[in-house]
Amino acid sequence: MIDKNTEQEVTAVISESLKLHREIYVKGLGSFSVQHHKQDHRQENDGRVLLAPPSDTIFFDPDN
Amino acid sequence: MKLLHDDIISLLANALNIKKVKAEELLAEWVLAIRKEVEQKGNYHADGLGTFVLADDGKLEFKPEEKLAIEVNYKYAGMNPIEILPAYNRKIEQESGTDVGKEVKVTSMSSFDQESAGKLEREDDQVPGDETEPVGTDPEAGPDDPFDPDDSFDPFAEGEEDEISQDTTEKEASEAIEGSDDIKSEEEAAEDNVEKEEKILAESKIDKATQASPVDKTTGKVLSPASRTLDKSGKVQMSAPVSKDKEKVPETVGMAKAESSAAEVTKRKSAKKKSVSRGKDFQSIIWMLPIAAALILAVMFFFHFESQILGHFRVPSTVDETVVTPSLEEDATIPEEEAVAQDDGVMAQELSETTEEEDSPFGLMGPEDEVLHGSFTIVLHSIVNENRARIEKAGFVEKGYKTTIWQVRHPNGSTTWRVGVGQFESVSDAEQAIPELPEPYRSNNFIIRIR
Repeated sequence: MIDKNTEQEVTAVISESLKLHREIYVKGLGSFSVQHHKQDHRQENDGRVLLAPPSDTIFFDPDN
Repeated sequence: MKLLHDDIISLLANALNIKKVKAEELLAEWVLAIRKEVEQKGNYHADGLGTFVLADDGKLEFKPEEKLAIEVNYKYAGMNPIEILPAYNRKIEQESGTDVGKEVKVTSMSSFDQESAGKLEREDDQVPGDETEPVGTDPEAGPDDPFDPDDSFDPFAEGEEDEISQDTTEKEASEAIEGSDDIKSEEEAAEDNVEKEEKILAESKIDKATQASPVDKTTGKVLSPASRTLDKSGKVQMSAPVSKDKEKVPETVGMAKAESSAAEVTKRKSAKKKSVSRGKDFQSIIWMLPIAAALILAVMFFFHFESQILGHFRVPSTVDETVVTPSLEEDATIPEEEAVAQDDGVMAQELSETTEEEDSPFGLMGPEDEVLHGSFTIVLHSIVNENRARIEKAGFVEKGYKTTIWQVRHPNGSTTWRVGVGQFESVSDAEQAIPELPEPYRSNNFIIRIR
């Protein structure tokens, strides 16, 4: 079992890279990336039209 | 830039001060632990990164920690959707009783115009107004109408004394009312009616007094009419000396009767006056009701459209965004009281007024004379460093853009400086201005409300 210190270092490498919007590939696990979503209009079920703000979200693509 | 597996191993080896082979082993062990725990428990949480879960389709999914997600999304952190079109279409459909499913769907926001939204809302607001009728505007329909001849409150309908004079009075009164209906108002007719009734009553009392007046049996003459006068209160005054015969009794009886009937006239007069005044009060109340309703509706309309003009349907934000005055030079141009005390109502009035002026504060280019809270701007930069944000702002100002800079405080305590160009009355105005921006800003921007 991997110790907590090692796990913290691994997660720190991944999270710091993601904060810089860099894509990371971890063999056997998958790739982490940051996707940008432009601001867009969307309509709710009740008829309201919202202006959704842009956003940067983390995307994970698992290895098979 | 993409970090590959070998890059991570190098970074890990440097961080743990171990060899790359050992670092690779540790990384493989970590990946294996995640896979194993997810298969056994369904999830695995890595501190500082997030949680791995097993999806229904057997694939591995990752949910980042909220703190990491905010930090990755630092440019847009705290931004919430802006409601630019409320769900009033549904309200219209529901009020008109049609199928909700047939509501008009807004498919393209590029065609959205707040003016049209306002019109739609006005139409919506007219629906209940058309159905509402002022209550009690027909005075004849009211059971308490003091001028209704059939009204049981009429004091002339009470009592059984002086039936003849009363019948005559009522008949003439009703005739007077019927005759004056087309010409005079009901109030005037009632007043005339009262006067006529008083006259008729007084005459009838005089006649009765005459009938009851004694006949001087010695002379065989009736007492002279000149001997009987009416004082101002309508009482019959017997001024002439009466006969001192034994026939004095009928005379006193007649006098007493005349006096009692005159007192009755006075009573009825005061009662009628009361009823007339009550009728006036009632009528004034009837007229006040629709006026009060109209006033309330007007106030509701005012506040409703005011919010519509500004698009004040914002979702409460957890981020405290404070608009910073554009620059040190411009600080002096913005009245502090105006900047602080501007409430939404004043803003709506200002927005509507300023659009009519030639030097409108809205637009993409031009000097930013004042920061209009509630208006929209196109954000081109979201920068942590304040100095860098001010440098970017200065660059846009040099190019002639209306530029605003403000600070955003995030829930985690961090701050971001946003640089926006242009001030726009609506989102659609801001969208129309985006093609005028140079690249890369034309394709990388977002619209936000200045708060």
